[in-house]
Amino acid sequence: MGNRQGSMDNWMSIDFGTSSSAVAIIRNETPELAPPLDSDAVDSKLFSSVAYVDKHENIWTCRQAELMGRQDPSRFLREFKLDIRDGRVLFDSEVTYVQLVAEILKTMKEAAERFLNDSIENLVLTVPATYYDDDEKTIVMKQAAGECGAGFKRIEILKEAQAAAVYYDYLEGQSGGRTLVYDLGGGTFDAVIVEHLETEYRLVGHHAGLEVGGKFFTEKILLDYLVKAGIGRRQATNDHRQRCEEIKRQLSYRETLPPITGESYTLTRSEFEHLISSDLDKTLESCGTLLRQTELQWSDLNRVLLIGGSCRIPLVRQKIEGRLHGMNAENTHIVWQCTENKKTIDPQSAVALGAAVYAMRKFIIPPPEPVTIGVLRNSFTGELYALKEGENVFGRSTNDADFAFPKDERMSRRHFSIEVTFNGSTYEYRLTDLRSSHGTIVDNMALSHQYTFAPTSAVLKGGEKISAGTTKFDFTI
Amino acid sequence: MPEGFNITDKIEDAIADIRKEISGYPSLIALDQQFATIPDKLHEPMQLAIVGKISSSKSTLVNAILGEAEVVRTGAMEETWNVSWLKYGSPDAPIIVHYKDADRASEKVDRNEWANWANRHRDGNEQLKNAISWIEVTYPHPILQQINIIDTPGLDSFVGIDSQNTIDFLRKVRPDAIVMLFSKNINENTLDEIRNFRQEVGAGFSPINAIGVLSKIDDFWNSDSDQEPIDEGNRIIESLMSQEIVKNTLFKIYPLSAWVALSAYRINEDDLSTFDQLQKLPQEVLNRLFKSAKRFVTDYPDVPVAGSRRAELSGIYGRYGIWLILEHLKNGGSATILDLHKLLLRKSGFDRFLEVLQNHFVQQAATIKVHSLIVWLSAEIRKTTNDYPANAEERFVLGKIIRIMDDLVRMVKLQSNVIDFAKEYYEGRLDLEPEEFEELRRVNGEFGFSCIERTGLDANATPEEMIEMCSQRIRFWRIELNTTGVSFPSLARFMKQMLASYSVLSAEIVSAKHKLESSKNFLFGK
Repeated sequence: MGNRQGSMDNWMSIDFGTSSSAVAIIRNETPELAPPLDSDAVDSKLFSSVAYVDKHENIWTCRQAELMGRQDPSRFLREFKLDIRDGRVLFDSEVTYVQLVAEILKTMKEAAERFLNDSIENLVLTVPATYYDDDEKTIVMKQAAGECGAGFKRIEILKEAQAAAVYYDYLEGQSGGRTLVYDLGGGTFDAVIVEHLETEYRLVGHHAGLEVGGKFFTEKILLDYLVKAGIGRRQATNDHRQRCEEIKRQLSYRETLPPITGESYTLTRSEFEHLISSDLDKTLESCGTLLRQTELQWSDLNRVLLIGGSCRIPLVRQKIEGRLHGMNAENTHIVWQCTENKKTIDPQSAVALGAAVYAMRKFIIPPPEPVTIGVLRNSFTGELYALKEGENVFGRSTNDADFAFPKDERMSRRHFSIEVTFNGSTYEYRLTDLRSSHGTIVDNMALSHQYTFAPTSAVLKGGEKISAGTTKFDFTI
Repeated sequence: MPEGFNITDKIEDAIADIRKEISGYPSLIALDQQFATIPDKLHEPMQLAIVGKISSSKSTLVNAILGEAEVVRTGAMEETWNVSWLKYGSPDAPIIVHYKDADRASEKVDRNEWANWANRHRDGNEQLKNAISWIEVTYPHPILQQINIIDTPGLDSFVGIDSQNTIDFLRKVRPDAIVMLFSKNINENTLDEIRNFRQEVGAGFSPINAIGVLSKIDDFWNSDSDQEPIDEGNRIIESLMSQEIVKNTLFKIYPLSAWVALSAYRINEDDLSTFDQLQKLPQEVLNRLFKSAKRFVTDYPDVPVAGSRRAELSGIYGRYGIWLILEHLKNGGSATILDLHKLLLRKSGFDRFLEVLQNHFVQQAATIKVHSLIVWLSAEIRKTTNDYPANAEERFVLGKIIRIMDDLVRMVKLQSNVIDFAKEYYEGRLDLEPEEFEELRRVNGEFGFSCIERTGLDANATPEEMIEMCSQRIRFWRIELNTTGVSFPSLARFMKQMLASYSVLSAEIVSAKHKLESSKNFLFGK
């Protein structure tokens, strides 16, 4: 469909995060993460949510801003998502948040267009569940994305948790029920309950803004290291922090680590878990508060969906499992990988991908017309035989066939069947010959069990002529 | 404090603006009514509890805060044997007795009948103490409109019921602030007292809302010594404050003489002339008089003022108070009632204490109250906006109001953050250097709310210098945020607060400077 649509119809999505952002586009009806222009293969597919305002009021964004900020931290802006408002960003500059965010969105738009190799006019922007529709932050973000900013023609706002739920359904099929979106990011924890309804993803409630997350976990390792190495807090360097960051990352995949080069300091996974355990308990308390507020039990949830980079830490899952077990909610399952389809929900990109799916479903794929099941028509009498979902048996026997033709002597008691299945958007039809004496003919192809090389079944697409015994049918969808 | 200076004033201004906006829309009257209740709620007085041992001059301190001698009469009014809650109101209104038993209705006792009523129950005093939770007394003193004073019978472990009454009351009523009184003998028992207090009343009290007073520094006075009693007081306090438990409980301990402070309000013309007579005496005669309490009231042929008269003065001012006044007069100091009043307040250490009470606790209690109020109101408006099918024009007004409220929430949040940071700092959860914490408090107006006090520059600084200072600090904290703040994200919140505080301060200086210049132009022309 990608080729059929004009460029006016292209959509992209942005999950604007506190420390990093994810961008997705739609290609061949599939959401894909669009990497920054300057990222190489091994690099992250995420954009750094940072900016630098130089003395001439030029705004630099993302990776370029990082480089400039290293030289002059006094005009560097990072982690400002929660500070966004209708005002200036720096004390001694006229640059406003609208301008700043617009530049960042522009960088992302350019990268996405390059990746899609087409222009993109429309945007789904995700925001936290705490933002109101008329929230100052939402309004500033919209202005920044609009025609006077990054240049998007249409801007849709979607809550991050809703986008995550959409993505889950995209991978797993319509699931229904309630999802607790457990969003543990770099610096904040949000818990949101989303109800999957036929027509919408309803926000049931949220408990958001707890200051827990990845950077605080790294800080805990750093403080532990500094104490053990006898280094004062003031002497800590960026290098120390980066090493601790790496320790944290590694410990998500292994139990122990070799001492870091040149240092005797090391940390085991269980030691790390000890450091962050009370922080994780706070996230569960936050979920508990949310459940109380919404008058739900853990067992009323169908699933807990883990979102945000810090959910890679194994202890997060263990803690939630423990809580679910303690609350007799064994039927509530934890989603951090959709193993059935062998598709992985990547905790850092699920929101952006979900938002892209949302745009695709809502704006790109035309709403499906009411789907009906195809019919067989008797070519001679014009009589209609409406098929049902499942197996439909045609034959001579009034007892063994769903559609009986007792007068046709050449038809077997159970002659052929048409299996009707629904794949999520359309019905599929497979005709199988049921070991009939004289075979079934579909168009010019004979289905028979008599001959080794003859096919025994055929997929029907509509418009076929079918003959069994002396009776002839037309199949129409 | 001048108008428009503190947070309460700013909020009142904003509320007035909002109500003006709404007034044209009869359909928004329900919202307007909600706004109308705010100013009263803002001015609800703060609750200040005073606790200490019996005879730690608690009643004297309460009277000194009120600036009058007779509000709480030790013993006579019988208030000291129970928790008494002093509120603003008529002096003739009945005293209200609240019982512990929730089902027992509170009782109103006529003020004139109070002595009889208390006497009637005197035999069963212990039982009555058990039954009564607190009594409420009204008095028309203006300070009570700002601060309700809760006088407690003390935390003396020897008087079990009193102690229990105080603890029960504090647990139940949770005053905004608490003053702990210490008499001069600070020893191991004092530390136990604080420890017990924290255990019993709970962790709700910390340097955020608790302050100490060493209330009888006049006891340290000795006419032979050059040492000021306040210095001796400070020496004792310094050693006390080095104790972990004290540091974690009390904001600070202030040395003062409640007695001398109270006497500052009682100076009259008669006393003035007596002081004048006394100050003319030769120094060695005075020295002899002040040698001991007994000599001070003895008749001597070379002292023109009768011993009985001197005893009378000593009852009011104490020998230390009289000594202070005579010293002042002998050195040629002015002899008006007002000047001596100021002298006694200063020398008694009371004016500093009162200043902290006002600037720190009253301001802080207001901030906490205002914060919850504004957040609540902001949510109410949003609810109105969502529920109410407003037309385009009304929507526009509501949008405007929401913007004003968002600004208020931000401003109030900045103030209430300081309190949260202080709590974390005192509890050892926020690892700041002492000077960083000092800067946080300074720039947020804890040491005085004027721009110059908040910059910490000396009094000669020009507005330009103040603005320059702010931009330097903003630069500094931005760099800190982007370096140290990356490694230590738990400090980043504090650094952002510093950035925001200096930005606000700088904007205020610019605006004040502009006003100053336009007034000058208006008065004198260009």
